[in-house]
Amino acid sequence: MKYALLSLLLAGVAYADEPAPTQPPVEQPAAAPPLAEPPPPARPPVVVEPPPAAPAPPPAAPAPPPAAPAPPPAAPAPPPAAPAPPPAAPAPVAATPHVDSTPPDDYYSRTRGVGIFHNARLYVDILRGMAPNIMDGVASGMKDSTLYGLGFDGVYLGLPSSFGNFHGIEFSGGVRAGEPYDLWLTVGTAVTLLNIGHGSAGSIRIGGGFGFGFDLAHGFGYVRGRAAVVIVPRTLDIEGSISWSPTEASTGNYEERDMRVSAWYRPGKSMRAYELYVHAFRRVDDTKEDEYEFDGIGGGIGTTLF
Amino acid sequence: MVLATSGPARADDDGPRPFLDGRAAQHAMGIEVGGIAEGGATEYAAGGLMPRAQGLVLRDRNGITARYVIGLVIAVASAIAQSGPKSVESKSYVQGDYLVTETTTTYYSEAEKAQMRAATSNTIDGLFSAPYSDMELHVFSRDALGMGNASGYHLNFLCGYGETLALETGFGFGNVDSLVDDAGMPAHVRWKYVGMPFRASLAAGPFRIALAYEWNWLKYNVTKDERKVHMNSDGTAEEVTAVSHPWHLDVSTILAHRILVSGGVTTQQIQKPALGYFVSAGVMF
Repeated sequence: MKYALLSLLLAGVAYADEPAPTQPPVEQPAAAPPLAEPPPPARPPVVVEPPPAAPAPPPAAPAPPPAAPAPPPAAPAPPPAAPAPPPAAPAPVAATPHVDSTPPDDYYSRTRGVGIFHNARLYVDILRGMAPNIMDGVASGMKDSTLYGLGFDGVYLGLPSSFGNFHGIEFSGGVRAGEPYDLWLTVGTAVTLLNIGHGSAGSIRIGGGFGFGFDLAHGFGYVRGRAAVVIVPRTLDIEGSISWSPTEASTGNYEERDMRVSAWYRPGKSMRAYELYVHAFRRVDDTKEDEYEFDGIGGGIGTTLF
Repeated sequence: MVLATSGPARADDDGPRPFLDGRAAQHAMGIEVGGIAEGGATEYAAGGLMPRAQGLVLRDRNGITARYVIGLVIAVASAIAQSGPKSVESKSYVQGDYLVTETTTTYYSEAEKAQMRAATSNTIDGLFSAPYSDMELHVFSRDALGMGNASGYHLNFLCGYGETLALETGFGFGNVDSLVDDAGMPAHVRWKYVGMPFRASLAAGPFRIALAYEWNWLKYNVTKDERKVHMNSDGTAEEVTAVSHPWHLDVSTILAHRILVSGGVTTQQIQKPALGYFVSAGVMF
């Protein structure tokens, strides 16, 4: 029984991940194109209009029974009843309203791996924290340190897997001024583990990535987890992510951890969105106090690219 | 009921598929996240000490990871080769009171460099069009991710061709340190690997069968003394280095269209086989 439940759950995950029409309900009205030919371009007004039309048929339906005793008048009665069902056709449109009122666009795609809607981000940030105080190559306690960063991340989930998920490639690079100054470059495989929804409120993407890279302190392998959710359809989404590079995957003896919570806001109809985020970064040497160690928090702003 | 409701999207979907699927294990593209357990005379064993290795498995089957990593290695190697000398010849002779040594260094011409670049490009193109690729990472832990006595990782990148029989090769590396009990004395069994894996595999009914061989270049650097159990320099523990070019025979299948289950045996040598085992299970994404 447990196994069957697990299989069901997993099967659900698979279906949730499958590429699906962005707005399945919209396709339904197309079933009544003859009558709805004018409405499709102006769908929202149609959604408002049909409800009053829909209640009309029900009263028309009871009408025929009383008309039954009087066959002659009853004959004209059915004709109005016959056209009545067609107006009822748009009714399902009203019965399955969209969560979001904005018309569909191509803002959402499962190939985009930054947040829910985005391919890449360019950002600046400030980190405030502690770093070893190195004097003549010797560490003597800790000191306050401020880092100013400029970076770029890109994720492309362009490879649909055989199991209904989307995988791809991710890239990150940037520089940080301050102590310790730094630059980094990473490349890896981006992974989607779970994808629910198609961009409406509450749509979720859980995934991450793994890969390798280097910075001025060391070369390293990393794993990353990401979870993103849509708050306002096609307008506001948030993402939490954590990257971890264990000591065992470091060419030095560093453990590195990078946590971020981002909110993305799309002000208009263009693809451009703006990001506000908080950020915590920690890099420690397991064996000694080192000039590249840092532990701090901060925040920044960013913008989408592409 | 399970059969009726579970069905992943497949590009090559050709109708109802069995509950166990060897073809999917061989041909499907996906990323596996799961667990692995090994024991007995695996490649991590030496001197009669047989660690239990437990941890996580992360595999990118037929995906992009192995392709771009191997491609990157080929591109870097090609760039180094192009910028390096084509040949270096030295000859010495006596001239009067002097010993004269003449060294002639020949570099690749621009045409030759262009030819090398084209060959590299074709090779990398071939990698990305190859039907099979595999990145397989095993991470072992004594405390966090597993309950065995091994800690470290084992990573292979493979790429290959074939229809009925898939032949894959690539490169790999690893480092596993096991802490086992040897009659009351703690003993470190160390294993390091840099080398090339070779694998032949095929789908047979509901299963995928694979035979792999790992050519470990580091085996040649290990002395005979290091291959025997001995006390470490500070006398606190025993240590021994595990060396082999191990063989792995494994059978795997995809269960319920999403769960990859594998199991098999390992031997460090064919001539006098002492067997180790491994089992793994993971969810395919």
